[in-house]
Amino acid sequence: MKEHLDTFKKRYDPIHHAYWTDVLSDTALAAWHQEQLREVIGHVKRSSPFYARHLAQVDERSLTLDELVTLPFTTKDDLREAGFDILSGPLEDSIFYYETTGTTGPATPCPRDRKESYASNRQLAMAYQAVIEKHFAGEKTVVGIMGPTEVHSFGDTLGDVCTQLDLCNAKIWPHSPVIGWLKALQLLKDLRIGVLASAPGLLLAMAKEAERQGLNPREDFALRAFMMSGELCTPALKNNLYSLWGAQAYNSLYGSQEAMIIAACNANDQLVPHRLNYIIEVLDPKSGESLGCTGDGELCVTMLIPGSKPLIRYRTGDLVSIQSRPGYPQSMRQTVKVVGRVKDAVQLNGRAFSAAQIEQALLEGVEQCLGYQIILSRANDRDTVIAKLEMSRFFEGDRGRLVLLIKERLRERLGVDATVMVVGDLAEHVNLGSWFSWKEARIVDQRQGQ
Amino acid sequence: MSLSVRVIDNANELFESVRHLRSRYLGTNPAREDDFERREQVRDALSYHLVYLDKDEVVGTLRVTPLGHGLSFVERAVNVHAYFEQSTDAFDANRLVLDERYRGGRHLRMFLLQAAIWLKANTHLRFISALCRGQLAALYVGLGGRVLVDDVTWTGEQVERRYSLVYLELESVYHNVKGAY
Repeated sequence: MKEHLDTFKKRYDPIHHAYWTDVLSDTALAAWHQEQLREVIGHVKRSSPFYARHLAQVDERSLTLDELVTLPFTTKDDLREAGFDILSGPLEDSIFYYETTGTTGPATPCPRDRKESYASNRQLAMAYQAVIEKHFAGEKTVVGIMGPTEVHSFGDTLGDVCTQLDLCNAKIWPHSPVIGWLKALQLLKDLRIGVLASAPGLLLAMAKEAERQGLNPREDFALRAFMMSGELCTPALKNNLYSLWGAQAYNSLYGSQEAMIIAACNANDQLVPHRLNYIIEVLDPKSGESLGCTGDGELCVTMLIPGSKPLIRYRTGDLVSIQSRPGYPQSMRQTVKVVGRVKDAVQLNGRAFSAAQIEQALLEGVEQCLGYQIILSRANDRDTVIAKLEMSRFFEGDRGRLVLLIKERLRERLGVDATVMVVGDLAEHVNLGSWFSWKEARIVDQRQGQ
Repeated sequence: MSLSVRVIDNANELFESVRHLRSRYLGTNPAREDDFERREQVRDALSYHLVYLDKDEVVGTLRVTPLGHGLSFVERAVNVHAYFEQSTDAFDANRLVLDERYRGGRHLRMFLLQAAIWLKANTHLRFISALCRGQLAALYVGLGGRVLVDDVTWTGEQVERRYSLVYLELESVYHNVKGAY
């Protein structure tokens, strides 16, 4: 019998409160994990055709947390192959239907029921509350939401978060046919939006559009904070966004359509994992061996809310570094750094570099940059890089020195000979592809065609 | 006349005029390169295009293609790494065209001077390769260039062409053009 939201809230709200007020002990958290693990395994075995087969040999009634590592993984290939068979219950039991973006294969269904939306959004609301209290102490503000809204969770999730926090929100996705750049910028200005939720690439593209309209992004808007998601944002890119907009950028959340919100930021812009909703493992990305709940490796999550699509030992394909911080409040006791996707790793002269390493090497100390693109080439049996940067009209530095500095840093950090070019107009997809893949948007690999 | 020099990329609306000018004076695929269309698209996308404008009309063009990435024609014809120690500090000057109405006077030098000023200020490229023939080789030598190889032979599809590989330094080009201007 599927648990209804009201019943679920009676169990969830007290532990959520205890977790965020630091009265939840490690033992009580482990007991919650144990209870939810058994419940969710039983739920998926009963309700999901895929998991009925996949976990047929597992007896959830006696399953312990230590035995979790004996369960088989759920992979992205499993999701693609299973399609709707992965769902734990009929679609009609859900309240939202979303899909993955499907850039690397068929899109997979990601419906959500009331319980999993409620639990996921409650955690994200804590992040928004922390950032808004920091930047708007004693004030109210308007939150702008700039994300795809059709079969993507972004707009619904943030709309709900704002409702929970009693915040006015405006959905100003510029690629909506009824919005567009001009209207989005006008609303951003006229509504005096103070917090904008978006992807970093979109914020670069919007700065460019604002300049095209004759506006100065630093002076003509009331923005104080960006809540970013959708792609990685390195310290270098955050600094660059600050130089363009004068607003502080936060990596607001880490998650995906299929796994929902695994972590969200605190007021210090650190991502803290949501340990009420997930059991987290770090894996050796090659062997799949579980290395425990902290350390460096591929992130694997078991989702604990028995909703429409809980995933068991789901390999995210993302490389993370999870640190434990003894002495911190329970909700802040672990931080997670997302290093990049395994599939976004780039090989240069026999060495693998993450997306973050490449972006940081390119943009460190660079300000007033409206976008970049990296072209990989090969000559004389060596990989080389051409990096194209588009600069703001408000950039007042020495371009010749800037490109030389970046060239030398690329050689030092990535071991490649590079040409760095400042160009007038990068293709639009460079900044807007970021909802799908950093690599596909920003890397052009010419090495095969030469 | 209102003359100016601009730097554009291949997405710019003026680029069609650049292509037209090139086609008029250089033809299409003069060296009969294989897979020419794709190669040229890549070169155009990854080069600076300096254009000489009379009011809004493109009357001259020069393509500046980064060297050391295996993109340019010169890198197919010659092992440039034997001549350029750090090839990514260099660019290949190619597709230089000036409308005939603007030849024989101050225009070419003015165009090259402004190009050199812009490249010095906006790039880290300091050395230049130019694979050229006849008058153009003489022009580059006149700007301080040195012929590195006099008999580069390129065998394209049903054609054999001979070129000279000329080496220049941006700083000396700048001073030579400025001095003569």
